[in-house]
Amino acid sequence: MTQTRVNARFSRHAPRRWTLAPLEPILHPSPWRLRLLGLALLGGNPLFYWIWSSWLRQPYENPWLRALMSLMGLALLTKPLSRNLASRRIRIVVSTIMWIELPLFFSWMYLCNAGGAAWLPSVCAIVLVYYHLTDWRIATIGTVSGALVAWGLFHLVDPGNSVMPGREYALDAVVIAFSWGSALMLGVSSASLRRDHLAYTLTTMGIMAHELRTPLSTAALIGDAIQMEVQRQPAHPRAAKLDQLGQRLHALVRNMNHQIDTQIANAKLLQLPSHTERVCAASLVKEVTAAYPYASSRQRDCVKVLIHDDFTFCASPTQFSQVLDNLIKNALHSLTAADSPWHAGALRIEVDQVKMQGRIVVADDGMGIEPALLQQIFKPFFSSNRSTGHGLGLAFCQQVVQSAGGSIQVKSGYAVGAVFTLILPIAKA
Amino acid sequence: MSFSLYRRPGGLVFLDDDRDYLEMLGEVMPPDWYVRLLLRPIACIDLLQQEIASREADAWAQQAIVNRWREGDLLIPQILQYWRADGAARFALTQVAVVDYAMPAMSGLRVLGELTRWPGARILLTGRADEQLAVSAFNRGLINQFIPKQSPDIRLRLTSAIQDLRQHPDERHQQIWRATLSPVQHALLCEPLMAQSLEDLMRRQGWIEHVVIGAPFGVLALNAEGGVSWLQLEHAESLQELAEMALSQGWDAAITQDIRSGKKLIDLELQLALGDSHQPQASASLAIAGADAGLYAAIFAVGESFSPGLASSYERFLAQQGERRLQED
Repeated sequence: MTQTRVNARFSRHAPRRWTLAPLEPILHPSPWRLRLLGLALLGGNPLFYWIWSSWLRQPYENPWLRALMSLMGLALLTKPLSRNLASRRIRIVVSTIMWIELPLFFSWMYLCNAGGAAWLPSVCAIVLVYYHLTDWRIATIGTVSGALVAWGLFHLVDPGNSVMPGREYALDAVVIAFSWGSALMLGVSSASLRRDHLAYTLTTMGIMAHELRTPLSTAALIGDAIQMEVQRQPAHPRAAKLDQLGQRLHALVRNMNHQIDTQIANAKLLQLPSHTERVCAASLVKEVTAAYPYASSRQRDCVKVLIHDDFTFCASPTQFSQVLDNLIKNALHSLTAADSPWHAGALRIEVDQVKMQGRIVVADDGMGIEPALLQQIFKPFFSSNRSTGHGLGLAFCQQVVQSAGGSIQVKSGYAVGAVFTLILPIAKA
Repeated sequence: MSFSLYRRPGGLVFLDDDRDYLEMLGEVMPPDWYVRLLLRPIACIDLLQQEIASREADAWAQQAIVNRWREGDLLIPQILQYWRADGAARFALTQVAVVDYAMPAMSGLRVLGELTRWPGARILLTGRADEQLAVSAFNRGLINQFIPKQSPDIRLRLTSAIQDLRQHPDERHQQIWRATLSPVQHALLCEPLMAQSLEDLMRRQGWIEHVVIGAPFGVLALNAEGGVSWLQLEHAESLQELAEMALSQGWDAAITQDIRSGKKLIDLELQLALGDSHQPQASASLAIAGADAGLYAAIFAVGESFSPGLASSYERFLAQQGERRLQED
């Protein structure tokens, strides 16, 4: 019964699912994959220049163009480009390089060589490759725009080659259309497969969290029963101890319910409701830090809230409380992992305004995050701690912050702590 | 709020598919409630369906008292006879059913839907996802209240909700006993201040069951040990009449003066109802505050020979039920 109910809730947004799904400009963005692509471009361009110009001669080749393409491949091998894929700017640069190298360059070469046995299959292959490297929506726009731009340039520059006879054009068009259609179909289906996979995993998590609630409420009642027993026999020598145990049980149940709330909220990351209202940053931070179920008073005391310059922004307050909850939870976890002495201010939460934008900073002196992992931490089911975390928290945070028109940034290094900065547009009074 | 014309304790039924939860609910409910714990929806439906006939018979027994009163019989001896004849059977009738929404065999709302003829109060326990369903069920009048199962203070919320519903007068009983009251008497009982003071008095005296009658005007009340008391109520205007009656029966001038001034009341009408074996006495009166006109009240004990007694008392009834256990079948 519970299962079908939760399922229904999770699939309510299904029709909108992949049209509104966030773009993935680089599929499987691992540094190694990107370096391999760079290497192929760096070495492949000179190699094929030699093949097409000396060995299996084709009507058109251009050494300068090949050198330029090779250099772009080299750019993908550089550290800033292959490492920091989490940055929006880098993602745009990498996407642009892929667009130039693949649809634009291959269309150009195809047109200049008037198709033929070498370039027709190459174009077909490259369309398929392109759909495997980037989001199918970007690939579709990229393929069309690449072909059009190449066509325009071809007529503008006119490298002097003859245009192929009309009959072959039709043949080529059919073959390219076939390969393009197949690429599109595969791209869409694998994208929806990825989404389905995510959705099912999230649903399972939601159900599991939900199922834990009933035994928990039973545990709370056991706590009540113990305390009532104490009230019936207040003179019993162990009455105080029993009462204390009852209170411990209640505290434990509250804590677990809080955890479940967070997990269920995180698991809904694919369909966040769009309700927003004005939220005051300082009071939100104060409320969340006060209500957080700390494991010890030392944890509670190490949290320092600094309000430099308060601001209001538009968002869903409950979701944003969960965002802060997630960040506090991560920070405390990281401090525990670093065996922190829990000095006051080991976890700092600051509210400030910088350049007409609101900022909430959550900084800790914990373990920090390895630079190689930084780009992945906002991806669902990525976790730096495989044994205890499931890696949804930050994906949820990013989704919520972005839906409020803001962004989330992270700065960290190994063993130097981590600083998460939420940048939010200030709501006009 | 108005003072309910008839009230008595009744049973509670809890239905949930989760054995542990159910047992713990039974554990934390107040010990002076008669609680039955059921695991199977069908068993719950059967139990409450079977009660419909006994409730009907009970309501008719009460109605018959009023009908015979119209033909000239006195009310008090009839009510006492009704209590003695019933024993403790009426305490077993269920007043509130608390039903879990999410059960594998049948949803809680379906269970309640099967019980349209059962007139008791209904509480639905809901999970987090069921809130919408519960709200719409509430709006359609299928349930009196819903309580989220996971709320941290579930025990307190549930106890106070049930307490309120138990206090709430039964419509059928209200109608039956309303017939014995004059419009003025009824209006007095509907006054919130008056109702509250009477309510407080009931609690202080430990009366668990009561019936309000108009002729004579007062409350016949029963405590948990099966003892009966008569709370005589008098308007300021009727004190003169009562004093004259006392005078005519040979009571001395000092007492009649006290009656006239409202310091004391005398239970002459109770004697009239119970016969000569009941000796009338003058008892100090309590003023019961009302918004404009107050009432004078005095408590008189009814002899043990007229009362149901300990053997058919609520206390004995509860003791016989023993520990709260799941009803297995």
